[in-house]
Amino acid sequence: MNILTIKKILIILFSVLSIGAVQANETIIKIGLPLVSPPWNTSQFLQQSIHYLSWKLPQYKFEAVWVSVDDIEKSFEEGKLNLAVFPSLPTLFGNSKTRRVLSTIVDTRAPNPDSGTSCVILVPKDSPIKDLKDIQGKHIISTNKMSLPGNLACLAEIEKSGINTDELNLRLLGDLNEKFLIDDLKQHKADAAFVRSGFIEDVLLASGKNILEGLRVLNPQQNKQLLNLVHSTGTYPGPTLVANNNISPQAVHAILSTLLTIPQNSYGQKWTVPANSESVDELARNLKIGPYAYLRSWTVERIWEEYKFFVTLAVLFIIFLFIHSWLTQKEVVKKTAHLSQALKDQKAAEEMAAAKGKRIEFLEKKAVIGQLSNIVAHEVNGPIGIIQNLTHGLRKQIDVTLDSEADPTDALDSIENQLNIIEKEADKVCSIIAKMRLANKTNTPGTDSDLSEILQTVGSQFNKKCQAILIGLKETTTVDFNPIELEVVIYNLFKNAYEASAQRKAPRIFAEVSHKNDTAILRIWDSGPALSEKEFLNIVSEERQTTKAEGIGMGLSIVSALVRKHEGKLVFSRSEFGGLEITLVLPFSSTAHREKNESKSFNSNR
Amino acid sequence: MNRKALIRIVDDELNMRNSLKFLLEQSGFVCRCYESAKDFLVNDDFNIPGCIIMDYQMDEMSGLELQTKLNQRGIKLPVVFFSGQGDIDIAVTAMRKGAQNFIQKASGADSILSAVRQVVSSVPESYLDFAPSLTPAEAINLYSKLSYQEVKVCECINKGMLNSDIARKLQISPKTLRNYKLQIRQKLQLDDPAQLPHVIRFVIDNMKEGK
Repeated sequence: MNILTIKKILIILFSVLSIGAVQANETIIKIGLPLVSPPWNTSQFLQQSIHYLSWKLPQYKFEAVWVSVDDIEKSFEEGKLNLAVFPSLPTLFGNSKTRRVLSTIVDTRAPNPDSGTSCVILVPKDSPIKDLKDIQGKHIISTNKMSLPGNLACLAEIEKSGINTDELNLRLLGDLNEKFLIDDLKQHKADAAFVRSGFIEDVLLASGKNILEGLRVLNPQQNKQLLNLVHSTGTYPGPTLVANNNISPQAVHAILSTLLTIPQNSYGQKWTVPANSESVDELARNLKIGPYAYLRSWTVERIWEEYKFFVTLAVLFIIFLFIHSWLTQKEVVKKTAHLSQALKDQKAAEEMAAAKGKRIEFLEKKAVIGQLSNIVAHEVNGPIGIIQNLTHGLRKQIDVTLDSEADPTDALDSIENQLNIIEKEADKVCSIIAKMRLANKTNTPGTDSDLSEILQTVGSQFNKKCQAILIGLKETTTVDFNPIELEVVIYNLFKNAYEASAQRKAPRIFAEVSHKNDTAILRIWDSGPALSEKEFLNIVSEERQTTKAEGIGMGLSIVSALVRKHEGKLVFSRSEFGGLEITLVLPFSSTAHREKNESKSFNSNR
Repeated sequence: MNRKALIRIVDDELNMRNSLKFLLEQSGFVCRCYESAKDFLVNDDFNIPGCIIMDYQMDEMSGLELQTKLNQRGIKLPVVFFSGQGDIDIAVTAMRKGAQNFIQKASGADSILSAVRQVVSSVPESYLDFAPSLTPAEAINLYSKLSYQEVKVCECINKGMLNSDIARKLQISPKTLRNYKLQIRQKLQLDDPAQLPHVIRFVIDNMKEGK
């Protein structure tokens, strides 16, 4: 071995080592690709894309990892993959926050990234299954579990038709190849089969064989602008590239910008904008899987999600009830306080009324006594005044007579005359006192008095001042009333009537006695001027403010007190002249009434 | 000028009228009675000074109405009301309308007399008629000659006291009192015993004025 040879060997070794060193510095990017039932037209485009990336981005070493549709999600989640192409959007599972949806593949058959895939439900041509509803209880077959498109798209469609997909008789063959599904179906080993959209077309493209012979597409969709493939369900995003969080943003940027520059092939396949996740989200919600799995059990979250409105309403209602009850409580406390205050006030008012009542009673008594004492004073003071005057005068006369030396005979004659007068006046006083004593002895209700007689007595007193016209005094009317008090009553009523009519030139007082059942009725009115409404009400009211200048406002009070005492009645009304008319209803004396009745019956018997 | 004060008594009750007249005349007053307000208005000479004692309650025209009429006619004679009832409000009304006094009928002769005296004292010459023969100076001169006891008696007489009351007050017998009075009359040169109180009053009043 010469030096040259050694040199060559060293150079080659170095080159190899340096290349190895370069290769060792390359970043390996693992791209997960789904194993979809062959023939899958898109798998070639995926391989071409990885070649393109390797060529354009030599700093990265791209490794294609083919994973089954069911496992690709799991591998991606575990971080075994840096990038992954999902047959449709992978938003159903795992932590979506760590993912970046980069780009979606479109082609001439599926030009819209949001509607790239779907699913086909195949039944034998002669099957009794006419639509999705008939599929309940039937034997259904499919390849794998939760792939999209595949079972999930079909299940979502069936769920939409009102059938609970959890109760479907679905059998999974566990084999990737959908060709076996077609075979089983044709051999009537199953009633229906789920296959991915594009499978029929891909088989036709690859082998020129139409697998639809002897089969029928259930619930075929006619939206060819969206997806120009035979399909039975709604459409979902096409194959989509997703970046994991274990790859740098710089790498993602380089990869994405490179992918988007890949020219479209003869099938029109190319990378384009990422698909919208809305349809996938709706599917998950319909099937209660992935982020909506909680809908399968009655969690608080689900209750809130489903009955948000009612829960809010109920909470609001409870708050309202709470506030309402609080306010009501407050109001109750307030009202109770008001009521107890009102009760207190009422009690106080009642006590006050009782006190006032007593006071009025007292005043009435005082008034009666005052009135009687006035009458007595008027009667007694006259004679006593005369006696006082005469006695004083007499003593003077005696003094003068004794002082003078003249003959006392004339003086003594005069003295005797004056003494006679004194004696008479003293007798008058005695008789008044005797009358009072008599009145006092009989001063109890139930004493009889003759109304007619008393009327005449009082009338004659007033006849000097005015004309007292007495009507209906033919017979004796014995009433159950103390005579003195009855005189006081009638005197007061006459006095009232006189004072009311005194302004007239010829004042007249009218008094009429009539009988009704067991009562005597005395009406008293006058020819005085008409009373105004206010004056009339004033008299009738309890206070009875007098309309007369000199009155003390108690005359009618005395009268009504006495009448009440004897169980009589006092009625105020307007007379024919517009003045006051007072009607006094007095019960007949029971003894006199009985005697009268007896004599009547005695006379009639005779 | 020497006019006597005339006391008019207006009352519709005869005995009251007469008893008042008797009382006042015994005290030396000149009285005239009227049985009603109308009688008074028709027959009285309002120019004679004096006063009116009238019953408050009379038929036809009450005392108050009469007083109103007098006020309307400009008659200034003082009025003393006389009433059986003693209502304060009646008295107040009467006093407001210009009555000089308001007396209850049974309030005693003294109150009537003092009321009349008080009213009549405003008539300057009311007592001159009783001592026409004496000038005030002469009367005072005579009066100054009275003994201490006699002056005491005169003071009591001037107060209108009766003999028995004076005797009790001065603790002397009625007979002794009569002797004193006789001596006083002689010293004051009076024949008529009825003139004594007026002369004494005349002297005492003049003595007060002199002071």
